[in-house]
Amino acid sequence: MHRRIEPESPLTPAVFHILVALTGRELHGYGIMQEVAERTSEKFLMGPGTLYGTLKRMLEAGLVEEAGEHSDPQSNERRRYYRITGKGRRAAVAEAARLEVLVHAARAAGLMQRLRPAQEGR
Amino acid sequence: MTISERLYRILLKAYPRRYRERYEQPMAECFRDQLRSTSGLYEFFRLWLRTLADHALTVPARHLEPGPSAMYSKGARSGIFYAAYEARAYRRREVLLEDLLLGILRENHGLLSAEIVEGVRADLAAAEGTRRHVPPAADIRIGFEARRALEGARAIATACGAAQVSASHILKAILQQEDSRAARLLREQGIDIALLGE
Repeated sequence: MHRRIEPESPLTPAVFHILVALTGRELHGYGIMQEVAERTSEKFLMGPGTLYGTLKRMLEAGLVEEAGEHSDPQSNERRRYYRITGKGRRAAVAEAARLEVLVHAARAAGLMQRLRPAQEGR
Repeated sequence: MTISERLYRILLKAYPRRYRERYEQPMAECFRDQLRSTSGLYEFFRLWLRTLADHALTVPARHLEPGPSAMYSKGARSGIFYAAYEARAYRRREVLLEDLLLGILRENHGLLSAEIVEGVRADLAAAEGTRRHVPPAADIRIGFEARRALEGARAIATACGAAQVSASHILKAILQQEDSRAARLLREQGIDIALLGE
């Protein structure tokens, strides 16, 4: 089912991870994949189908834009780069605030004790 | 090209044609980059398993997405079609932002006054030289700036809650590319985003 990304609505994990990865720099598709995998300790791995399907919806929603094609410094091959837009940044900030509220609620309910490093070793 | 890359390129044929036109190449490059970063048989098979699962989930999703007829209004669709015609008339290999502007103006007479349209046409004709008559064709690549304008138009339509992208949304998106010749020509004719209204 095609889901259009609506402003102010909660973002999917893929959209949020891509926005975070693109904050402050331009990246090509594989660069985004690597960045997301690294930030999540490889817990969130996207395939090319998920990545480009999500980027397509984000482009249509104005959250990211193409930054042209240029050489990747590592492989020296031409790649299509993407960057975050002002609207994308605002959506990411709103999503981060929404997630923060959820985390606070989970912590208050005692659901996050298991995640504390001191208790992990028990 | 390795056997895995060839196989993945065959799998990509399952996506809709319009989607492939745009994403087949970067997806194949992305998979190649992933292949290069694997080391050992275990990682190789893990990558293929993930890729097949990704493929099985995303191919049906792309086919269920609305096509251009649902996404664009009739005027916008005609404008995009004639943008390709303009590009071919100027012997171009891809549709430029100027072609998109001409296509939109050609098919949407009520959008701007006839004087403004003629002014833009005359300026572009002076810069572009002789046109030739060619049959319209839709099989021409959309250039980077024109594509960005169409994406911008979809974002504008989404922001104002419109069900479809109209010719007016495309014109606004062209104006948003402030440094482009097409936007400059419109500005010189006294057109700005506020004037175009909702």
